[in-house]
Order: sequence, then structure tokens, then C-alpha cells
Amino acid sequence: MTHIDGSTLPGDHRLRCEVVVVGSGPAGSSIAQRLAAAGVDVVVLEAGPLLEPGQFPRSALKSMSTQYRDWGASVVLGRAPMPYVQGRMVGGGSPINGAICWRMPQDVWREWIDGDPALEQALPWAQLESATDAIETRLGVAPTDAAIAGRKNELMAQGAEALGLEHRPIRRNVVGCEGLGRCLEGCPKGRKRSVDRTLLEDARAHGARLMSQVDVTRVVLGKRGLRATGVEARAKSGARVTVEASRAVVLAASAIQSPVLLLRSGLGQGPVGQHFSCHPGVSMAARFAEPVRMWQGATQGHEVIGLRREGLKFEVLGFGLAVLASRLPGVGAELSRGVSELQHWLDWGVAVRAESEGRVRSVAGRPVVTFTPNARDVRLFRRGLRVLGEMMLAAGAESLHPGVRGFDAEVRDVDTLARLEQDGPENPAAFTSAITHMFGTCRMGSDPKRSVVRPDFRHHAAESLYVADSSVFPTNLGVNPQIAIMAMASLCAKNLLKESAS
Amino acid sequence: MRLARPVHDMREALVKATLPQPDGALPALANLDLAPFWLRFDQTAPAHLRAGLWAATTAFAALAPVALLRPVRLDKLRPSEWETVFRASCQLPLFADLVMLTKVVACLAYFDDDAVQDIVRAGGEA
Repeated sequence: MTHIDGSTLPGDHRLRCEVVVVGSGPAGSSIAQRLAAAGVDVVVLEAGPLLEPGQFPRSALKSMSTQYRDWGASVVLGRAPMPYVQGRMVGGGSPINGAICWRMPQDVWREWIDGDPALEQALPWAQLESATDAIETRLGVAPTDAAIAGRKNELMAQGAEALGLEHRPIRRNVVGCEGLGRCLEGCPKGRKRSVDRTLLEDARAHGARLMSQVDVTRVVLGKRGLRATGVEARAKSGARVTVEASRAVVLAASAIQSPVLLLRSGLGQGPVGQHFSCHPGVSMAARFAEPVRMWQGATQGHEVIGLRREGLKFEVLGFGLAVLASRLPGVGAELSRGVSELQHWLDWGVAVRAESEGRVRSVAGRPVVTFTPNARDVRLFRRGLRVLGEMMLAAGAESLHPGVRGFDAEVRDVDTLARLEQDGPENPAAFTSAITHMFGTCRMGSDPKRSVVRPDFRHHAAESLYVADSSVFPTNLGVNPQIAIMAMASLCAKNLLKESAS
Repeated sequence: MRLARPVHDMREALVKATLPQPDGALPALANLDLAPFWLRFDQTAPAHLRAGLWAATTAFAALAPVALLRPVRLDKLRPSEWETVFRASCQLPLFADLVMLTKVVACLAYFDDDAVQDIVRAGGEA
């Protein structure tokens, strides 16, 4: 299987293919698999390195600096600057996510169709379901095995049960998981069926060529009209890379990078970069009398889904030791005391289906993201923290640390949690929050003034140019998106095959 | 980016004071060799993270003489004096983000050490 490592390319390099795919994450791997299986000559370009499970580091520091873009600490600007997390390796975020799998919720799909009925023909529900079935089978998706769940996941089940909230073991793409709790640094045993080890591997087995450690700088447009004919890139070695694509260029570089690439290429038509939507999350730290050892068991093995329609989804978190410790209260001697009893601490989080939208701009060729949660989103932060705290107390927590500025640093009772929801801060900057899932910046639709790509994923203005990642999603999902991204990309591949054949 | 020696020493003193001495079998951050950590931090950390730690160092360097009522450099502070400076910083809202960032950096440095990881994962905390 061909792999070209851009860090060792000695000189300028030129490749020819039928389709070049920019990005090797869930979208890029899915589309590459489907195209390569159909006999298309595919080249996949990835900015990050190709790493095998034996190379995954144990420390958060080494993981952040080798597997994540900007150490996982890129920052969204606005009234409440908050970090957003993106993978930067072959497989994108898939090798280093919590392995959480959700099918596309049908109620969200219905929202899309109601907003633009033309989408129904391009995205038939039955085809999305069929693509999802195939992907879930290939990735081995199944509910977390109770035998390796670990105490942190058992406690969430207890807390949710006590509150009468619907909950379940998380469906994950792992096979033979030993509960090492290291999903976010990449499974050292290779038990996660991430896209680099499944869909992309399939694509490469069918002849797709992979080039890692190359940053795509622009889409090349043909001399006659707006037709994408390839891409230009810069390898880590400094070499210039040109890829000529006779059939299509597919952008699958994420909701942050894809719009920036379009803007850098002079393709600013439509609302490119606008309608940035996401799932900001807040978390609660809790101390239990019993040792809970957050680092043991399935990294993220249990979720509470009873309030999903309100825009709230609760998950056990799977931070590494360093991030868990940094969430403890205090500094100096107090922080040292917390670290001394780290086995008694855990964090759970709640992801909010934000209503507010932001924007991605290209400033000097780099993405600048602006986003501020609105009053409704902040109200959901407060409500989510209250429910998290109530579950933790019901599960036996001694003390809670919501990490909300301007509110009690430590909480021990449900009355205080009720006060947090009702009278807590309205300023989003008061909350310790982070963003993980991003959408909408090249959204699809039938109106070229209100969308960037057509319902069949083709760019409205440039021929032979497709966007296949979550940037095309008309809205956020309210659930973890990796499977929905793969399914949508699979439909993009189907459309591309049909279109280029005709 | 290579920092001047006094600035580096003050930065390291701030990080070490942030997480000084856990109990039990865990070593003190001050006793760990942080040279590999700083090399990685200076070479690969995003600019805003490096700038944030520089800002925190500068802010604490300005706060320490005010909190202790005498001119003093961060890398010369005793543990009890650090506690006084940290208490003073808690009264100042602008320090909240800087303290959070410093905690993240200190914890990354501390848990990058294999021995620390082994002790914690084996349940060897106090």
C-alpha cells in the first residue's frame, strides 16, 4: 500500500490521479474507501503524520503535541474564548476520539429536509441508513461491555437511574477493548476501529495512495472557467507538492479547514465560513469517598440521553491524568493535595446543541473562528451543570466543583445546584467550556446565495469540486457526529461516481 | 523561541510552585528534570499558549512584590511566600485565566514523567 511521508520528501513532487481527497478523517476515509472500491484512482492528502498504535504516547503532553492540531488548544474568539479540539494525524480525530458512535438522528435529518426540501432527493433517509449500517458493521460498533466499563461509567448509570433519566452504555467502535482508558491518546493495543485502521485501510488495499504530512495550500482551478483540476500543497520537508485530479477534488478537511481552503483559493461564493455551529461542552469535577480511578475502564462508556431533545447530552469524560489534575480546585498546596488523592476525582461533561452561530475567517491564510454562546445556550450550560451535579450527588459524590466563576467553588447539595441553574452567571465567559464538534461552514442547499455546496455535495460555483465533511451539514446534530459524517461522505462518493460517469 | 535565562527561571519557578509537593510516593515537581518538557513546549506549543504563560509569569512577577511588600524575584520565593502570592491573586479576577493556564502547563509537565504516571496508575497516591 503506497504511503508517501511528506516529512522526508527530498524535492518537489507531482502526482496525477482521478480524484484527490484533502483530509483523511472520517469524511476523507469514507469517501476514499467508496471511490477506491469502485476502481477510481484516489490520492488522499493528510496534514498530520501516520502513526501506528505502538507509537501512541502515554503522556497527554506528547499526545497533544504530536496528534492534535495546536495541542488541542486552538481557541474560538468571542465573548467567551474557549478551546476547540481537532486531530492532526492520519485518520483525523478518529484515532484519538472517545470512540462514541451515534447514527444520524432522524429528527435532525427531518429538520434539514423541512429547511430545504431539495435535500430529500439527495439525502434519502433509506440510503443514509444503509450507508450507516455498512459503516457500523465495518467499524464493529457495539455498546460498551459492562466487564470493562469501570467505576466512573457505573456511577453515571447509578446517578441517572436515581434521577429517572434515560441512559445507556455508549455504542463505540472498539473490538476487544481492555478498558485502558487511553482512547484520547490513541489505543495502544489498536483495539479502536478508527478510520485509519478500517475505511482508509480498505481504500489503500484498493489502490488509494496516501500522502501524510502535507499541508494543502490551495485548490487549483482550470484556465477555462471555474473547474477544480487539483491542489497545491507544501510537504513538511519543505518540498512543493502538486496533485492533478482528472475527475474531482474533494475537500474533507473539517468545518474549520475546508472553508479556509476555499477562501484561500479565491472561492468565496456563498456563505463560506458562515453558519459555524458546534457543541460547546461544560464539565463538573466531583470528589468521591471511594476511589473511582477515572483513568480505568472504557474512556467514555456511558451517556445520559433523556434530555437530548432539550439540546443536552451527558457523557462520562475520559481525560488523561494531566487534564484531570488541572481541573482540580486550588493552586499551590491545595492543588498538590488534590493530586495526592487523584483516584477519588472524576469529571463528567454535558454537550450542548448550541443555537448560536459563529464564523470561520481566513486571516493570513490561517483560520480565525468567532463564536459566542447566546443566552439560551448559557441557560443550557447552567441546566446541564445542575443535572450533572444532581447525578453525581445521587451516585455518592461528596463535593462538586462546577468551575463557574462568580459562583460557589464547591457545592455539596441539590439546593445550591438549583440556585446555579436559576441564578447562576449569564456571562458565557464564567463557564469552563470547550468545543469538540463543528459544522455548517460550507453548508449544503439548493440556493447558491444561502449555501456553498449543492444538495449533492458539488460546489455551487466550481465544477468538479466537492465538499464532504461536517462543514456541509445544515445544522449541528446534538450528538457525536463521526458516524453521520462517514455516512454523508459515503453518499457524496455515490453522487460523485454518478456525476462524473454522466 | 529562546527565553532569556532570568525569564525562563521565573517561568519555571511559577510552574513548580503551582504544583509543589503531592503527598505519598509522588515526587515533587521541583525534583523532576523539566528540560525535555521546556524543549517540547518552546518548540511545539501554539503561540497563544506560550504567550499566555509569558503573560502569567510577567503578571505574577509584578504581583509578588506588592503581595509581599518587598522587592523580590519569582525564582527566589519560598513556598510560604508563594502561598501568599497565590492568595493575593485569588482576589484579582484578571488572574483567574492566568492561573488556569499555569495549572494546565504544570500538570502537563508533571504527568509527562513516566515515574509519576506509573505511581498514579498503580494507585500509589497518598
